[in-house]
Amino acid sequence: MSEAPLLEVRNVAKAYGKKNKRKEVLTDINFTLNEGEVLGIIGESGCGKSVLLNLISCLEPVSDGQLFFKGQEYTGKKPKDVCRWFQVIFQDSEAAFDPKMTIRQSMKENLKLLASDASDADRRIDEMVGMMGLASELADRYPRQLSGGQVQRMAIARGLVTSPNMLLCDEITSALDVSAQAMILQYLYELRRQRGLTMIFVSHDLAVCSTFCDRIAIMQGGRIVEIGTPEQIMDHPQHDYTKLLLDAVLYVK
Amino acid sequence: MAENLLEIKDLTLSYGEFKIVTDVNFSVKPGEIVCIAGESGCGKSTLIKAILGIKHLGTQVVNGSIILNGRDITNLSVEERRQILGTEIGYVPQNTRGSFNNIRSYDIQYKETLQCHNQKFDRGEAIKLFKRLNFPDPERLLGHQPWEMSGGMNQRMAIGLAVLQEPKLMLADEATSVLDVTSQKQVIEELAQLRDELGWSILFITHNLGVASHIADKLGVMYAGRMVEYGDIRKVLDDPIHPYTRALLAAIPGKDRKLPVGLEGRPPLDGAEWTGCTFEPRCKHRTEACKTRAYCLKEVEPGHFASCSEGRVKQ
Repeated sequence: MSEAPLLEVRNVAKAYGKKNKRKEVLTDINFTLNEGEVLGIIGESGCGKSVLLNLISCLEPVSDGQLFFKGQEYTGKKPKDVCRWFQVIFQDSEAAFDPKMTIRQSMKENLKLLASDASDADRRIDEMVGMMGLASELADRYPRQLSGGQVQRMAIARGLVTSPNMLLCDEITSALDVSAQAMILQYLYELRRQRGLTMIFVSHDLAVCSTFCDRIAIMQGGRIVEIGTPEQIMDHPQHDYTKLLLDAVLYVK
Repeated sequence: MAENLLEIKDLTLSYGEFKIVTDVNFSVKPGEIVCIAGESGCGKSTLIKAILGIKHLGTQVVNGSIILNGRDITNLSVEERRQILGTEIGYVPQNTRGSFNNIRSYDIQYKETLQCHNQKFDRGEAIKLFKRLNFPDPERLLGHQPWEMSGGMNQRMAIGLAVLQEPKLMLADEATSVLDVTSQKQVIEELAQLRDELGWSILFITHNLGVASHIADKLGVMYAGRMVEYGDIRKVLDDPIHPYTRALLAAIPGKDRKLPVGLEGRPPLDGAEWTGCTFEPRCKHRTEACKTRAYCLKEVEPGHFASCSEGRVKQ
């Protein structure tokens, strides 16, 4: 393992619009992520957390700043150059699967594109689907034939089947029922334990993040206002906004 | 005044031939906040639609009755229903973005709505109400148009509109689910404040037990079209009886930062048609008898009802 962190985000900014209508949505974002670490990013809607994931995965170009992967700068690369490293999973995974393909066919497309050797595709798919706690027959169904929680787990399996270095999760449990959400958290936790998976987990739910992230970053208005371990954030919040957010989380009494 | 403001008796609802909700019984007393919680597809919104009784939504009452203030409102004519909607029953939908016209100012839309219910719109009254609810800058708010507002503010304007007509019963269908946590907390506090001041009743539908535990007096848990547990909020949350309620509580990430426990499978879509227990395929405590045992909500303790007490550990 190299000494450099797996991912470094240095002074990144993003702005939309031209000249006098220019609006900055992300300002001065800095953090590093080591291999095997899980970073949770929390913020309310519109704070720029999804844009940040788009920048890291090169779906959008940065306006300013640099991105490093294992110490190598990759700012300005195309998505297809970095999809070996990062796989992104979105909130609405049913829309992210081709409705006319079975789950297995969709996964094979990924493997064809990214794996050097796709001869044992079926075995790899079955193994990954099994790791997400689903029967391998389910992979032969179409996305609409699965429940929301199952499709989401299939999306995670699809992301992992090409063995990326890192998983970028964008609100992946927000549209699900709590029981399905809990299942996903359990399987992600298990994956972490077995494979040392590196993840960025974007969510608006502090309670969800605090259950399995190593560090949590709190975002407000395009800036990271506080970053720390769940203990630091939850027990000793420094920033006023963090305190406000903690106060607003409604736990079951 | 009748003892119960709203009484639901043996209510069975369907969309066409397809039963959605079976044998639901509960009541709302004046000044009480009742929460109905459950996961998606359990029939909680269907229940609200039936109480509103808006015909073209497609909900049909197969059996049972809905009694508001001693009067059976299950089968009212369109005109009779217009008389009670708004003035006696207020309604806040989940998606208020879709229920306001995005490009007309709030005061025009308020005026129109009140006219439909034979009431006059009084600007001063509205501003007074907004002030009481701590809306920021109440004088200017009414001139704004929905697209200029945040989701949270828009939601509060919808609550404002419902409150202006001073209904006795407020139906809130996932009224805070689309909001950020900070505005969610604010809206919930405002609703509770209104209850305290006006002595209203609120029937609050939510999938979020955290929200329920902060606002409700009574809690009903629904699963696959049936009420599986119902009672005082503290009793249900502190000492849950039904296996599903316990599984649901275990799946919610708590303050202790422990990993929540999931529940494999999904609720049956045709659960309301089953004779046996609908939770049986996912239940840890299932026995052969569960498949045939008819559904019945029993009073296990005074004021605490459940349809099954299998595997319960008394605290």
